[in-house]
Formats: sequence, structure tokens, C-alpha cells
Amino acid sequence: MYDIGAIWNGVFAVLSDPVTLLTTIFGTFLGLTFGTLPGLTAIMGIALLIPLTYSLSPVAGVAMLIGVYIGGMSGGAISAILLNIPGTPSAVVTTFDGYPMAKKGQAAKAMGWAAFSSFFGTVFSWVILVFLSSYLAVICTSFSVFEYAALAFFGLTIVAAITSKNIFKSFSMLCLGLFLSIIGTDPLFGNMRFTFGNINLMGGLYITPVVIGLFSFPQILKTATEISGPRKLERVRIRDIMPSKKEIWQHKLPLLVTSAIGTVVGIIPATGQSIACFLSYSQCKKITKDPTPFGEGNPDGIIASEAANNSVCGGALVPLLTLGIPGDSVTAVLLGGLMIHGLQPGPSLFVEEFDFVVGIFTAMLIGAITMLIMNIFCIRFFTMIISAPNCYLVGGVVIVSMIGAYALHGNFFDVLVMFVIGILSYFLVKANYPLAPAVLGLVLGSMFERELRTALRMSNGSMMPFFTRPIPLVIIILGVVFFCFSMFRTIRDSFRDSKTEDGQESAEEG
Amino acid sequence: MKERTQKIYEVIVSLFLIAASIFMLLSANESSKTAWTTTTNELSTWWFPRVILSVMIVMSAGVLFIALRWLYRHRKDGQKAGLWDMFHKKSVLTFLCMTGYAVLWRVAGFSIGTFVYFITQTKLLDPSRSLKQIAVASLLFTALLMVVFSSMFRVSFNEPVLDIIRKLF
Repeated sequence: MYDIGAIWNGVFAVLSDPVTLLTTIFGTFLGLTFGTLPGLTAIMGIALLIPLTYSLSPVAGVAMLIGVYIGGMSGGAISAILLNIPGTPSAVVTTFDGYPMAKKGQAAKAMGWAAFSSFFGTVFSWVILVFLSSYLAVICTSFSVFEYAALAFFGLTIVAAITSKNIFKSFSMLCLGLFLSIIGTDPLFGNMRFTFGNINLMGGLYITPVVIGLFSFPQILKTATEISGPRKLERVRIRDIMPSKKEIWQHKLPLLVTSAIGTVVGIIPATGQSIACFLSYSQCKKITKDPTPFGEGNPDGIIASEAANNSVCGGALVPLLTLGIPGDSVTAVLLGGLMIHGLQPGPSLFVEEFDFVVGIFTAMLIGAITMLIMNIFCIRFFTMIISAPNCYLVGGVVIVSMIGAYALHGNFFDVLVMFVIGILSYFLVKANYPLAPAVLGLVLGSMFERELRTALRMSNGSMMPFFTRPIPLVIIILGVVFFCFSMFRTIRDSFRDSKTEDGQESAEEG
Repeated sequence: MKERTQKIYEVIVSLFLIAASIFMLLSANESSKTAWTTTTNELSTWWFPRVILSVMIVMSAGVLFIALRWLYRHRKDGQKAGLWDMFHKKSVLTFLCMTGYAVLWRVAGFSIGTFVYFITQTKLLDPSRSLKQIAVASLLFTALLMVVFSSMFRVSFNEPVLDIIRKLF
């Protein structure tokens, strides 16, 4: 057991240090700003801020980076709701119900739910991080390639839940995402795949420019055709933004379940927010009590996405701090930030740098509270962004998107990738193809292939270990059952719709 | 009309995806002849891409079949497809502006490219707005981006023209 006195000393050290408090608040604000602007993500914010932390103390420096992490995850919802452009890749799911709510004139409500769910998810995962971190991290150490391959397979079966009525389109898009994920160097043999001699493709396509191209491009070109001029600004009052106690109580189950899913997914290394969001969204469909259909402005859709992606923050810090294993791509960059300050994450960190660990836990909670307050008080400011005339908005979004594609690696080739994917995406949207399965394939494709091939190499080509080991077997069975159930529902709905259409046609002919 | 237009786009997109997948499959077959591999019983470099591309062809063929069947069934509806709707004048000009911005960014540098692009794009979408007002907005926006990204976050933007001016003075 930890010494209570030492914990209080650590907490007091953070609360009484104005530099740490200010850097946490500044980091959270920057994270929110980065998350809000399409293409600029938390990972980019952390990567860009690391040099600024050199002159700070380890706690103040890392607190700022964690503030960016929390704020970045939450900020993605703002542009997803107001512009239908996800600010971060994981905010794709927020657009499903957030934008329809905004179109119904409930933008403030949607943003309120996003802010509260993000706060709830962060605090939920913080509690898990503080009280259960060392126990939970041990479970994850038993995961081998077989478990990871099964987990990626389970992630891919989620396509069945986010599919459109035309399943061929959804699977085409999943294949497109998977194909984009395998461009580059083969992880096992080092052979070049679909690089056509271009050295920029050898490292593969980065997720950020592809996601910006997929989602920003069609929206920019669509917005350009809309009438320019000031839009009617919805009056936003703080009492309209925050959900009431009664509403929170009514949505308690989605809040708890999706936060738990996000935390567990975050704890499992190399998974990330996107998987957590898609998984939570599909599970939330089953437990919702709100009569509004999903995809048409159901608040539970926003809760699922936002609570899950922010609860990944705390979950991902569990293996990072206790084992030195990053839980997702953002914590991988964060790991670099810790090491720059001479800290070696792992079990010894809790013994040798206990004050630092307590300081980080405290800073994370401060970051979560700051994020909620900023989300409430800056919502008017962010709502003003969407009320700006299209002529300014289009130019601004184009510039920020292009900087977003370029900034992380400083390579102009990423801007080109954004263009090519954007043009393709424009045609896909016109043909009513769903884009979310492409993101799912892109995120999971390389992981699934790498783990599956490594697993088969270890088993000398035999699939049996997947069925003889308990964890992969359970995950695969769950995946297959989930897939079949979702497909059955989709096909049934599709047949019902086509029968209705045929009935209408014959009635018209009659 | 909208549904007919969408179905025609489905035909175009699915044909494109089938053609692209076939091309990639052929490319994979060609590359696999020279690819390094082992004799052990494991999945080769090209196994996964082949499976993905084959599934993509089947799925796109499914989309194509459904779209063609719909078009055949509704051939006598007398609907006209608004195929050129997607090539709206402002969309095309915005796309050209974006391409121009990318080129200008490379040739003249980020600051000049951003300043010129913002003015052009805004004037294009709202010609009634005064040029002076747009130029001020563009200048402020470009300056803000430079301060945030270049000075604060140390993003390295190429500035060939500004570099020459700096050297001269």
C-alpha cells in the first residue's frame, strides 16, 4: 500500500505550484484547440509541444502534455458536431449523431453532452488508473500475438454494426481502408508493396492525411457551393449546454458502459481511440433507452464516442506508467516526452519517482476539470466559428487541413496524399459510400496483418492456437456472433425496405 | 432524379474500384516474382493484399450489379440524371484554388501562398466583399498561423521568397 502522507505531499506540491497549474491549463486549452481544428490532433500537439517542455520541471512538462492529450480527445467533437468534419480521427463516430443534432438546432445540447461525456470518461478512467493500474497492467502482459490478432479481428467485425443498408458498399470501403493500410514495407519480409518506386510510400500512409482527405475534402467542396453570408447564430446559453441531473441519470448506463469499454481498450496496448469509439457505439445501440434512431441525432451516440475516446486516455496511461508500454499512438509520443525528462516508465517509476506519479495523477484530474470548464465557456466562441461566413470558413479550413497534413512529418508528400484521397472521397460521398469502414480498415489493417502473420509464423502455419488458447477463442467467438447478429439485422432491414419500395411501386402502377 | 444520379455515380465508382483493384492485383503478381520470401509454411508478403483486392472486386461487382439492376428497372421513368451537379462552378474553382495553393506553397513559400490563397478563395466565394477587408483578414490570419505554428510549435515551413528578401536586407 502507498503511504497516504506521501500521496498528499505529491498532490499538495502540484496544487501549490502555479507553474504546473498554468502549464496543465495551457496544455488543455491547446489540446482543445488542436482537437477542434480538423487535421490537427492530440498526437501532433504533443509532438510539437515536447521541445517547449525542456525548460520545465518533469511534472510541469508532462502535465502540459497530458493536458494536450485530454483536451485533444475532447476537442475533436466540436468540429464534428458543428461542421460534420471530425477534428480527430476518433471523432468520426461523433459526427454520426452530433451533426444531425446540430442540424436540428440542438448544437449546444450536443456539445454539452460531448463535453460532459468527455469529462465523465476521463474521470472514470482516472479512477481506474489511480486505484487499479498495477493490477490491470499485469493482465495485459499475458497477451501474445494470438490475442492481438484475435482482438484486431474482433475490431474488424465492427464493420457489420456501422454498415449502411448496402453491405457491398461497406465492405468495399473496409477493403479500401485495409488496402491503404498495407501500402509500404512488408513488416515481416521487408518487401515493398504498392510503392511503385516512391520512397515516400516506403513507410506507408500516415493516418492523419488520409482521414483529413476522406472527411474534409468533400465537406469543403460542398460548403463552397452553399450560399455565402452570415448564418443564423443559435443562441447558446450555459444552462442549455449542460445536461441536467435528471438527463444525466437517464443516460447513466451508456455513460458507464462506454467509459468502461474505452478504459479497457485503452489499457490493451496498441489499440487506441478509434477502436474504442466504434466498439462503444455498436454496444450503445443495444442499451440505449432514447427513442431517437442512431444516426439521426441520438445523444447516446455522442456519449458513446466521447466517453469512450476520453476514457482511453486514462486507460492508455496504465500500461505506459506501469510497464513502459504505450497504450496508443499518442502515449507512444508521450513516452518519448517522459524519457526526454529522464524518466523511465515501468514498475520502478512507482518506487523511485512516486512524487512524479502522484503529480501526474493530480494534473490529469485538473486537466479534466479544466477541459469541462473550457468546453462550457468556450462553446459560444466555437459556435461563432460555424456562424462565420462560408467564404472565410472554407479558406480557413483548407489552410488548417493542409497544415494538419503537413505539420507532423514536415513532408509535402502528405499534402499530396490528402489531395488524392480527398478527390476519391468526393466521388465516394456522391455515390453514397460510407466512409467510416474505410477508417476502421485503415486503423486496424496493419495491426491485423502483422499479428496474424507473426502468429502463423510462430505456430508454423497452424490456426489451432487461436482455438486452443482461451482468450483468443473467446474473442473470436464473440466477434463471429456479433458479426452474424449485426449482419442479420442489416440484411433484414434492407429486405424490409426493398419490400416497402416494391409495394409502393406496384401501388403506383396499379 | 437524385436517386438516378446517385446510381450512375455508383456505377462509375464501382467500375473505378474494380479497375484499380485489377491493376493492383496485376502489380502484386508482377512484384511477387521478385519478392523475398521463405520456404517455411507461412503467409507471404502478397497473400493479404491479394485477399483484400479480390474481396474488393467482388464487393464492387455487387454494388455495380445492384446499381445496374436499379437503372434497368427504372429505365422508363423519364428521370434525367444531374451528372454535372457535382461539378458545381464554385466546387471546381475551389478545387483549382486548393491546387494552386499547394503549388504556391511549394514555389513561393507558406506565408505568401497562404496570404494569396485566402484572398483568392474568399473573393471567389463572395465577390461582393471588399478586397481591402479580405486582405486585412488574410494578413491577420496568415500572421496568426505563422506565430502559432512557426514560432510556437517550430513547424518548419519552406519560405524561398522570404528567405531571398531576408538575405537582400
